[in-house]
Amino acid sequence: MIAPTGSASAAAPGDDRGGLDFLGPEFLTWLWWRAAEAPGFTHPDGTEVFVHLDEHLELRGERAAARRTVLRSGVPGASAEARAALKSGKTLVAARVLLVRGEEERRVTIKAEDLDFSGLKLPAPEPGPARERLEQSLEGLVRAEEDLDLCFRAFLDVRLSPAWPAEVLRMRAWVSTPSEDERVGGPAGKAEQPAALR
Amino acid sequence: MLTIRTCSLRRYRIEGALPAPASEELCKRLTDRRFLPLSAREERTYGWVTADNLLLTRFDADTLLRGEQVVLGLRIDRRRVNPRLLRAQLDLETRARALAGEDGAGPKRMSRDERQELRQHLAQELLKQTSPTVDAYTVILDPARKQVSLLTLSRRAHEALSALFLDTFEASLVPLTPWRRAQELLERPQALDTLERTEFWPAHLGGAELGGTSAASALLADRRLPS
Repeated sequence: MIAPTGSASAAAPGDDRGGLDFLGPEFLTWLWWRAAEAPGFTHPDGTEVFVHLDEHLELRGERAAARRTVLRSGVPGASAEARAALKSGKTLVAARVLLVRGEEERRVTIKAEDLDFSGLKLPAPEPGPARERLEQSLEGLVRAEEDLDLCFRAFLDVRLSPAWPAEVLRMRAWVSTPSEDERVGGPAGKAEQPAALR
Repeated sequence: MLTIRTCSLRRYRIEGALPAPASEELCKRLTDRRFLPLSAREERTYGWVTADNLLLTRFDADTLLRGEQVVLGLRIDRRRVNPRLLRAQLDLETRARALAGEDGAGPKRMSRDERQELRQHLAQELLKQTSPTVDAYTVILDPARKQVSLLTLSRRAHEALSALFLDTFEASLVPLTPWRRAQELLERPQALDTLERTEFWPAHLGGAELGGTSAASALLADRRLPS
């Protein structure tokens, strides 16, 4: 179903999102669920990438377009506020994502609507001449893009397949289960709740 | 020397042909659209510089090639007359001319056109005295993937990049949005044409802000989706 390469058809003038503004937020919302349930993704060459969403989540609603929920610090993905935002019809428009490939870790905030990278933190290059260190950073940047592409490809695979409604049902079941904060309860759990801004 | 540890970026696909990386043709085109300092009357200018040093505009394989990629800088200089300063200067000048008029050294009141002319003159003078703000952003050109990344999310920088790239190479940059990337990845991109928004949590299931039953019982009650 998915080809490794292809050519983009002509874009509608002035609309780089092709009228599918929701595609990026749906991807990031799915990735949030997928990272919580099965965080591993595998490249065609067998390289494994593990994904975790933490530190920063931003959700925005379609039904209440002007409203947004920003969750920071702690583990916002495990918070009751995050689940509540999903239940109110919001989708994830930005998230801090941890991509782990072997010993390499990269953190990046993905802005879903245009797949922009913000605050991408690359692993420290090996000591050596400045030019070689830059080349290592550039390779790290390409790997971050490849890892994101891998996740996006996996999303498209299911999003455009007949399996999507069942996937959505599984996501709803996940949203319905008590969050980690709710399960832990008590002062310790509450102390780690992130600040919710609306 | 340029280093990249933390960055923000937007990616573009190149639509059109480019000269070979670090070829004479590529270097010539970059040189033709290299950064040139603001002239006395200009408020904004932009052009190519080397990635390592924003004062250098000599392009060759050594300054451009980093591994498989071409790395260069987009420099944007801007200067703007402070409107409050211009108003104050205009006020002083107007008063001085009025006083001179009372002494018989000229007309007592300036016409609308004279005032406009004075305003333009003062704006030009102040512009000459204003130092520009200087920005330089890293641009990564990956010839194998026909991809360009601009390491900033500044809207002005992205507008400048698109215009400069087209001007330099006669090739367009299209942002790699989810829709465009999906078109590239899918065997049947037309499948996107019928795609509709997913209601992850439809109103009839209730929810935190919508009232209604608990999420779990609502889920069980939802018989429209396969179990």
